[in-house]
Amino acid sequence: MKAKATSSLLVGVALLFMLPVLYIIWKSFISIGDGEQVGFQVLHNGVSVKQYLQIVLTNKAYFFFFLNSIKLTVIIVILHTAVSVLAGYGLSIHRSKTAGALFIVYAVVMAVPIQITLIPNIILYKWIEDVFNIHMMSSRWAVILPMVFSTFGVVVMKLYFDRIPKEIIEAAKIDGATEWTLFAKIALPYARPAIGVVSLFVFFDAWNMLDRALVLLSKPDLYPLSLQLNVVYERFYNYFFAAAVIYSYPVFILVQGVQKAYRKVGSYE
Amino acid sequence: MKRKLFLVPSLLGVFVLFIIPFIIGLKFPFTSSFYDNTFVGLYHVNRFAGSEAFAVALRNTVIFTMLFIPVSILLSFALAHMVHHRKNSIYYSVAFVLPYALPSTVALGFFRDLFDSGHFGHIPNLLLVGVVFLWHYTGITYLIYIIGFRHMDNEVVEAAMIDGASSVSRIRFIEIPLLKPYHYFVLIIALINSLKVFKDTFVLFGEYPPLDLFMLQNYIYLKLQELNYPFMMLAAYLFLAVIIIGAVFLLRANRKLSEELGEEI
Repeated sequence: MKAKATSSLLVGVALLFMLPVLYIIWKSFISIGDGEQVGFQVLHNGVSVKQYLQIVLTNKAYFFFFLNSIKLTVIIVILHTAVSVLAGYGLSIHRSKTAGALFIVYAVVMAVPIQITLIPNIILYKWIEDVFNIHMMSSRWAVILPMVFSTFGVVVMKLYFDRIPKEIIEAAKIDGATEWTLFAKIALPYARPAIGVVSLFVFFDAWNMLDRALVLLSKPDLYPLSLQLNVVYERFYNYFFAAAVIYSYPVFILVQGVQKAYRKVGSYE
Repeated sequence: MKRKLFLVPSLLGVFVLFIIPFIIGLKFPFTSSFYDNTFVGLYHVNRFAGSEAFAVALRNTVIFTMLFIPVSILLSFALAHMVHHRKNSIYYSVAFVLPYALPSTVALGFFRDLFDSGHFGHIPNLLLVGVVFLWHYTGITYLIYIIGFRHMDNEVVEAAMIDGASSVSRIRFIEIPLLKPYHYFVLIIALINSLKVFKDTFVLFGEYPPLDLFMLQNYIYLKLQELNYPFMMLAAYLFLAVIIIGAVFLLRANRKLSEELGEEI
């Protein structure tokens, strides 16, 4: 009896969490006239896919900003993961006091909120502008670099590399493995799940870029779609929900992938 | 020597992009401008201390974090407690985490429509954003607890069940103490997430939110836009102080709690 009550409570809460998502998907199929602001309504003029077709076939601006998001996200995910794997491994193999202190620095930088980390970025970019006359803020790299070198991935990778059994490393060393083979042949394959987690979370973060782009990019044509969707809501309400669902599509795909991986892991247990 | 090479790219990036400029910036509150290093004493500090906008932002931030961090931690623990042993736990996990994974502008389409409908005019904005915060970020802390439950020593739990321990005492004497390392982690993540609420207020209310939602993040954001270096740096000093004090306070409270629970066992 009690178990049943918990079950229905859980289903209720889960539906509550899903409600806004379902609302957005449902509303993306509702036909809304140009310039109409229908607000909180689930039934309006009936169902249509016209707005999807219009975005996919004719809306150049949408794809321009979509492409911006793709460029930013792909570069950030690849570089952040690469830098973090190397540095996490570096921190993990050094057992010195300096390495310990560095790890604490990295953990603190990770915990500092974005508004604070934007301050040194701005100071640096202004300085580069004054000294070298290079306008960092009119280039994509202004937002890419801080995300590539954010310390989140390093902290996660270091903690994961720490779990490699020492015996394996020692055995490989006795067999004459070089520093590089130790890393490439033993540590890297071992850390594959952690590499997946890091790249996944950096993907979510980059795909959802908002305030960082707002502060660090001086040209609106560099803005990612995650930020530009705000304008879509205000000016092209009839497109917004379809545009939002298309933009979220990669997220749905990735979440599904995680679900599959999770099941695989579950079946080993 | 070769082993140090692994660290070089990241160290360069972190020090050049974050640490060195920040340390250089520490002097800004006490010098006359970005270019002029003349020492001006407490000139900026006095103006800053008299600024009402900052006082409001600080107050709102403290109220928001004190109210909603405990709620979000309790909620994520309760959900993880109920879900972790279920066969279909993955479906629940997806439902709770999806709001976090979706881009804020997408996810908030529903709440924008809802709040614009005018039915919520009499509810304080802080409460509305609190609900959005719980919906948006609970999934992450929930996920940490789920991992904790999966790594928990099942024998202890099963032994307690055989001994007929009630679910309340199971939570109090077994689950909470065994998940101790996870509580710290959840606390820190919840704190970080509560500061991310800028994204939500920005999407819902724009660059200039109503006064009761104007938080430290909004204050720093405006100073960044104005390129007001002394004020943004002073806000950063205080922001960091609030974070450190908050973390110490919460960690101490947490330790006390687990000590008390430990004595009772």
